[in-house]
Amino acid sequence: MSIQRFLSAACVLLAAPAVLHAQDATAVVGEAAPGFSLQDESGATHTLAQYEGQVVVLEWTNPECPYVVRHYDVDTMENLATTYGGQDVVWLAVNSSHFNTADDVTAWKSAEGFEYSTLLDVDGSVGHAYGARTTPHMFVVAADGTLAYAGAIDDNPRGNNDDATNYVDGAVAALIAGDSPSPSSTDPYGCSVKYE
Amino acid sequence: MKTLNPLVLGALLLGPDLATAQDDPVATLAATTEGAFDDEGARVVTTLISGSVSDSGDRLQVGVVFDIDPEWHIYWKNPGQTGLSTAVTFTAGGETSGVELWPAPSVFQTDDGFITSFGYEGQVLLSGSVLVPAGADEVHVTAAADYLVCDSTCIPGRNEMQLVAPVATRAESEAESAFAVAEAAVPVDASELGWSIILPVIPGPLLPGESVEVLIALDTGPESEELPSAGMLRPDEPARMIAYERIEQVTVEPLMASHTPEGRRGVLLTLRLTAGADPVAEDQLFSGVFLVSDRTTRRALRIEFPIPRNHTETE
Repeated sequence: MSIQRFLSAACVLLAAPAVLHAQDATAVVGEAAPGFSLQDESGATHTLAQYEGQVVVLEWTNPECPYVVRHYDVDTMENLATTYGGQDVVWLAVNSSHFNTADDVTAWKSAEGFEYSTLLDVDGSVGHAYGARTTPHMFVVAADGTLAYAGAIDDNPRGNNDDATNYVDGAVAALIAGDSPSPSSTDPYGCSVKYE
Repeated sequence: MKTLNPLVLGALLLGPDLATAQDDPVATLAATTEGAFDDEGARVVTTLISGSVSDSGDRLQVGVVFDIDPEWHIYWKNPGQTGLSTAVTFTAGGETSGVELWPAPSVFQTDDGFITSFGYEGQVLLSGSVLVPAGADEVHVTAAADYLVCDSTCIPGRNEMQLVAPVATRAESEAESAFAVAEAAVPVDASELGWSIILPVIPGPLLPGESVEVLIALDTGPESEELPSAGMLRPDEPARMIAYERIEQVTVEPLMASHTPEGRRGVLLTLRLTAGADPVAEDQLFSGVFLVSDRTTRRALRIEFPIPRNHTETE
């Protein structure tokens, strides 16, 4: 059998019904962001739909991850949330760690002194819908509900870049200015999300 | 060592004053150092070793052996969907260099298969080379390893080491065999095993948001041929058969793995490449490692093919 015949045979095999191990459908930049309804640490429910008309930043977090801790030590998230909080931008942390509790989240919030809510996604369903794989992993939803940015918080995974670019800052600023974020997706870095 | 207070241990390894150590690196750093401490002690022990000098005499093989606690792993040059790539900076005579030889990584997946990463567990040697000044018979080498080590939690580590390395055509036997093991684990071209890999001819172009399925076929020949072990090649889970370097704006999903059709020996792997929302650069390659195993051995084959060009770039 020639190589060519082998390959065409291989293609026939490929076309035959087979068990596909496709990954779960996840959020795609440029398409509608997956909706959700989650409780925060105080028990209040947040839905994506309720924030229609506002830019929503979703920050996947886990206080036990050193990358999250590094950013909280220098208030990366809090500074952005404060900066844009007055400009119709909603900042929400999401914790998909299977072991996270409202008490733990409240203690972390109090210790770090930030104001925004943390959504408890204990069963990981929203994390899977967004394709959140690291902490931090950032998603920015435009006012019309389109997912506008997905990826890293910045281009400084090792924490040694003095001239780092904060992608979320750029994405939110672009949306406020009526532009599309560029880049619209980057490779996130950090710890894996601790799904069940 | 695991019971030592990390602070005390840090002081022992780095000397009483890190600033002094940096000013005079010869004074205090050891060739072996510990890092990534938690309650159980160091999760990673690294050792700087030197190998043999190049034929031209101007490069000396150097490397860092990572000894990683059981259940923990560090990451390949592309960590995958989580983690952080391991970096080693070798410095000698004012020149810095990085890792040149990356042994084939293992593929790690979370239990639900949702998160895939590439890396190393157990022990791995990441090697490179440093400049040998003309006429020198020894070289002062320092190395800094930056890494993230994870099991269910993650700890970043930075281990600094130094060594006065002899410039010899043949290293001491322990180092020699460590380099030989690492080199043997570096992915090879299929042709070196007498096999062929049939790579996708992609009709392209791939537009933003579009997907294409590509088939990679490893062909070891007709069944009638005597090919020891090749006939035993088996497809594992598709996601465990491929590691690849980062591709801007392209995500990769391993979809299916199977044996080749009747009459041939080999393994097939189907990948789906999906373009992101931004244009895909014209000159990008899929560059990866095809991991196939037989009953006793895992083979790591180097594969590379062009990512389809973006429509808007070509017109």
